[in-house]
Amino acid sequence: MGQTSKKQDWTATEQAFRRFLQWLDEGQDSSGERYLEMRQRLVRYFERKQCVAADDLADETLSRVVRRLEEEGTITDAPPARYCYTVAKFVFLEHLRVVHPEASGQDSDFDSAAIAADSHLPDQTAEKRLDCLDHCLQQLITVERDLILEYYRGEQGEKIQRRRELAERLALSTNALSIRACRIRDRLEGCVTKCAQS
Amino acid sequence: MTNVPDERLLTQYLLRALPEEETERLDELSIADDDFAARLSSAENDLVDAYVRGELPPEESARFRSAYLSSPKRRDKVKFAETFLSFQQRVAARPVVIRAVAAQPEKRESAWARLSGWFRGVRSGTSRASNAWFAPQWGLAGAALLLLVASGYLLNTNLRLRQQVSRSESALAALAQHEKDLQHQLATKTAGASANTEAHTPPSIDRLKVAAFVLVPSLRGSGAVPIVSWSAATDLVVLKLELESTGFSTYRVAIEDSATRQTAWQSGDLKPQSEGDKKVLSFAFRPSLLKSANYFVQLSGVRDDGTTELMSSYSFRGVVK
Repeated sequence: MGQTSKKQDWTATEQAFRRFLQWLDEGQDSSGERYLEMRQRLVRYFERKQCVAADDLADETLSRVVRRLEEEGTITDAPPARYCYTVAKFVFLEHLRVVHPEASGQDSDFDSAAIAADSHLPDQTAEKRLDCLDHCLQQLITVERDLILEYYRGEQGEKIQRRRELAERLALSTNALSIRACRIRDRLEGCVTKCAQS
Repeated sequence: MTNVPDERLLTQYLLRALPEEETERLDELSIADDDFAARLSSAENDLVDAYVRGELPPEESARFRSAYLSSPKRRDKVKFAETFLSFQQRVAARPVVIRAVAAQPEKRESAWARLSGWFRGVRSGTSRASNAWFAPQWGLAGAALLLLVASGYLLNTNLRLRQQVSRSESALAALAQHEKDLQHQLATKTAGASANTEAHTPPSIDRLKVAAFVLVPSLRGSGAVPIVSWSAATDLVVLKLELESTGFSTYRVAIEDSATRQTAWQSGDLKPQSEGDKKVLSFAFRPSLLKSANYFVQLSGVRDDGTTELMSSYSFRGVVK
């Protein structure tokens, strides 16, 4: 990855990484949750930019932030999350120049022909994933299982009202409910993927 | 953040259909703004679900394939959504959904005759529950209702299986089998009820009017709230809960008014009972404690140290006839 690869040669020390976690937490100890959340946001950002190596680019972004923090002791240019975005943008532009040197305006490095090949599940795989989902749902506590089944049930048109009622029933705001549902879904998705690969 | 973009804008953003300047603005928010990031994740899941369900307009569906399905992780999200949809369709076709509630006409019967079978292990720990004399009242009307609702679900399921035709066939087969099972149960219960009527002539003393109902967890049902009805002359309402998990040997239930969240009644310790391969929990209460309103039955498991853990929730609409 050219320039990007060079910078990846630097490795954060444990102390530097701890300092980075503290800085990212902005005074509220999240036990690493904030870091995981930020990494996920960065991965999704690079995916939206259609970068194949979204995970690598997210790690490169975070690595650069850790390095700057170690070198300068603090970063006051912007709040942590906004600063991470600024670095991510540069990492992306650098990546474009490496992947598409002939047309830096092109912002995708996917082979569209490879996409179609993966679009439909063979029946056997689908059956296995169904079994995995069943298994993974059983791993959730009842309240979570009920929540996710209810939250994502039904046609698009009826969802809004049902979710409003569900939020009311659970004494949550609709926003808090959607965050909770997303987190459960992420876990479930991870569990099913892992189970299906085993 | 002061101005969270609407769902439509988020969808356009995810489909890479916005102008560059707007895209860049939302790129920044997607990383730097917690509220926006959460909304975006939620919108992304809904977009993937809508695609899998075939609910996107043709041009958006095409754009989804070309712009969204471009990463392996995203294709994994689509696979998960397909799996989840299939699972939901199967759940919708399962008998458990059909048994949302079985209402039973009230009958006069011997109170002693009510102290039978599945109700023996029930203990009432509070003064309100001290009159917990109850018995199953399931019969012809309930079973007939089940069959009717089953047919409705069958039709509904067929309509929703646009993308899962092959799977729908197996679901229909399962439903047909269940109908046969229900018919068999109906025949058995009818015969049993006739024999019982002939064998017992209840004494005029000790008579109670009992209304009995089955509830399954509210979030697994069809969305329609089951109705639990009673008249002013009803002595006891009996509820039987089907348990999803049996991790505890003792449970407690509380009936809450869904509007005020006030507890109208709570049980003492209750022991689950086996009913075929299922576990059920039964209890009874005086209907005068309730009014015509929506209620939740909150089911909690009792740990060894006496603390409780909320397990599930069953909703019903109470109707005083």
